[in-house]
Amino acid sequence: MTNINGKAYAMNAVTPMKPWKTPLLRIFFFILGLIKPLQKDLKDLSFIHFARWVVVSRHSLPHLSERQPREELQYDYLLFFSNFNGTWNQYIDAFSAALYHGLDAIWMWSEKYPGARPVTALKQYIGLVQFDTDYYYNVYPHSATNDVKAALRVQEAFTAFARTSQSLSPEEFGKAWLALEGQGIPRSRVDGDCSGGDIVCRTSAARCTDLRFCLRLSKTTGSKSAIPWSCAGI
Amino acid sequence: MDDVVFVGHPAHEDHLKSRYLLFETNFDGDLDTYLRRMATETGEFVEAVWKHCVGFPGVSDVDAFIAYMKKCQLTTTFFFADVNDQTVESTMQALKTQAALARFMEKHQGMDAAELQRAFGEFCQRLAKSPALPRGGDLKNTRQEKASA
Repeated sequence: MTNINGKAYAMNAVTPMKPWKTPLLRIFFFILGLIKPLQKDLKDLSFIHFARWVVVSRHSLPHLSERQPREELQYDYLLFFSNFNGTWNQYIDAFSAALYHGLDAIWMWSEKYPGARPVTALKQYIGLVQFDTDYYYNVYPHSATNDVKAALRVQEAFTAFARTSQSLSPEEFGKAWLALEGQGIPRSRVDGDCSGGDIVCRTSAARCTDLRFCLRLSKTTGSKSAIPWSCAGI
Repeated sequence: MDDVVFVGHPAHEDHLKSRYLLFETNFDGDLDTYLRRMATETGEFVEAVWKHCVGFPGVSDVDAFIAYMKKCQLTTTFFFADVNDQTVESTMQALKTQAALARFMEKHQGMDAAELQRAFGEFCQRLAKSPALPRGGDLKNTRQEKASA
């Protein structure tokens, strides 16, 4: 079983639905796809790489040979696949706390769905309908969604800066460089405490495993002294 | 998937007559190109996995493989991607740039502006020529997440 790859967790769940209910769920998803602001809460959670829902009619499972018996199912099924960062418990807790309306709107059509709150019953239900992953490939397993977003911001800032950096005077370059640093380029791990400026982070940088939270605030000192680091402590 | 789950009374019990291999993937580009590359660039892996499936034609006839996979395809009802305007390539490039730039900033703290400017120019040239980040794979982790969380 390989539900986990690096920072990512792959969750798969299959829930039965009475066939007369599936058109209603399809209508909900259609509306959700049209009205982008309805997806804002999902984006704001910022720990889900991908999620997909597949409504499977009981007659639509692949039938590839006459030797393969035809399925005779009573229910349609909702397949749910999610790739997210964090633990299984954190994921469900977050949804139950922040997106319970959305959860209910989707899964209320599934048999025996207990509702998103209280979370204990929800976790029991998910535990029942979840299927483990047998093989999980992830092209950047050690990057969480926020790592990716931060990297994309850095790339954009770097590209813009690099385009003109060599045509500036050294003084202009120095000022532009400080502005680039001020955009919060995450530093890589170094030994020693992460401290400086007005904020002191109690977490030793050697133990700081979530580098995106370690923002660098630089100050021009006019000398070659070490520029203090500050940990945002988010 | 060996069978569907019985969620409890008063729901009815359903049972599958076949086992199913569920393959879920998120990729860049169009389906035909993706499937063609699966067959031609990862053929050995695809054979090893799908040879156990009913009707699998193998990967030597790529068109037959593509037709088979499309016959087995289920249409996604709703798809969410947190970052949906970047490709794998652009994301990997950004991750490489971020890591390299952070190392550069650390190493060149306190440098005077002229020297820093020269060093940055050299850094940009090195970065452009540097190899891409290695791609992740199947880092197996048998940790029972539900039990440990």
